[in-house]
Amino acid sequence: MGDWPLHGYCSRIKHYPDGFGSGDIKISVDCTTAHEKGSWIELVASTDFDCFLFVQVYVVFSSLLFFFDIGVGAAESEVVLFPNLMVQDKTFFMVNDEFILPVLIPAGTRISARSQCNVTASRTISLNVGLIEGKNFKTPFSYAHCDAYGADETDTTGVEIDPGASADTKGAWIEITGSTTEDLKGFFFRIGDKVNTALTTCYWNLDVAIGAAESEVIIVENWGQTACGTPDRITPLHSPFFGIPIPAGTRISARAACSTTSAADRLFDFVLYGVR
Amino acid sequence: MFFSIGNIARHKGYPGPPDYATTVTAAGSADAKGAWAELVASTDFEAGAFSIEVLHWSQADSDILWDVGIGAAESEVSIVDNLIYAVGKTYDYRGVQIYHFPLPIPAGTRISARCQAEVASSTIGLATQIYDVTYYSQRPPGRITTYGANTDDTDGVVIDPGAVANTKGAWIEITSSLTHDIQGFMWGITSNQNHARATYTFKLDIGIGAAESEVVIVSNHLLTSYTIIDVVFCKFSPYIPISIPAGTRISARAACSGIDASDRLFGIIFYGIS
Repeated sequence: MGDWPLHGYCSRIKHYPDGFGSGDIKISVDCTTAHEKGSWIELVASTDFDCFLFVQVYVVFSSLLFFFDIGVGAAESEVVLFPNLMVQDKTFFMVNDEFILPVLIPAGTRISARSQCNVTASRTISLNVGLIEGKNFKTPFSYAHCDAYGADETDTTGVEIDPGASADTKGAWIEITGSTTEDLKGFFFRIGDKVNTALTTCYWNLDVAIGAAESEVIIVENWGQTACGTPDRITPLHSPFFGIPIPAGTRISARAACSTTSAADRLFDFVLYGVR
Repeated sequence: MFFSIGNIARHKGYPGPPDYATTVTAAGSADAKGAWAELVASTDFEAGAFSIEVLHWSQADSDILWDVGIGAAESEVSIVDNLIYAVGKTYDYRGVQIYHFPLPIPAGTRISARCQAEVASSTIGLATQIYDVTYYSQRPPGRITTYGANTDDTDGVVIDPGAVANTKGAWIEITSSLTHDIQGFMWGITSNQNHARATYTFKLDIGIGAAESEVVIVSNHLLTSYTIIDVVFCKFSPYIPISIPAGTRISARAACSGIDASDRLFGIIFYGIS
């Protein structure tokens, strides 16, 4: 996801870490206490140019609930830029989740990350980040902040979406937030499998809406998702960036239809990231 | 991945429940395109862009090249040729791949797809998303040109990192000359017909310019392979808005953590958006 002019504004991508040794493929971000953020780990000491971030997630420990933050600023003075990016993934030591974060980061910026997960143990999420250079990103369309809606840091989960007991029928609207705190220029969302390790192969169509309860207006209709019984994973893990403005004070909700009625397997977690 | 300075007013996905995806079937012989299958009968509004998700596949170890077309049944015109979807073992994740196309589609358009595969009669399940985008002062793209697809064996240009681990191999030419100015590009990764892979990491560079004078425009993009899945991830890049003039030579190279003569190889196909 990302949002920038279609042509002429990007010139190169440089990934970090950029070496080939054992520690140069990815950067490990560790947490140790359940539902508490670990220490900030430096991803990039100083960005080479004005850029967006291209994030590649490489999960080492499977079947855990993770949130990770992307921050900027000097050591001991980090400021969260992207909060609580959700990763719930049964995986196999693979880069299988990559996405672009649509906020401009100036040249010379230190970028770091920290994570939390749902167990009290040393657990790692690993990242490789690319800097996407842009020569004229400082347009009226540049974004600077991101807010997470639906992320519950107390148990490292998102909002549970239940399509209900009727297959292939949209369930009830589930409120993601009662009121957005800022005007949003757009959003993206991430999906979690709730660490269900015995998923049925099934499909979902997800809707996102704005407006009061009983008066929801659909802005994303029939976003497709699937789960595969092997290896018990819901994909895609994230949406593209939707450049749909949402005013402050707006209620956001979501609902879905699912091809299975299994009480556990039809559920998934949802977090919406508002960009402004 | 969605790149426009304009706002998106709305979004709609097809086919919706209870179908969720449209099954597209390769021909009854390997490496031959099957029949067009309708993804969307008629788009509900003018779309500034669209994306297609691969939600399921039928045949393990069978890489697929698929086309997107528009137009009435029996009169389809391909607008995107030979998109690669590499398929691994059972543990290969369904739906992991979303293909984003910053191409306008008029309201009322019929969208369809067809595919070919390593294994005859393989299928993929496709779900289509359309986005109502305003481009403001920009000229929206109108064409996607494919470079490096090998339809004879459903593969791409083979990249060999070479026999020295963790060292960039030689540059391999994907095209000697772009046929159009491009506003940006994407790339897809193939299995190179190898469905018994080692667990390796790769770092991919993409360069422009003449042989021996390549200039890196994408450096150290991380790719991985894993034994259970036997495919190279991530299978398809996001849209990269780097403009490149017509006539430019495009090449790629990679480093690999291993040196097995087969497992260090992968294929690449380059898609230029004009």
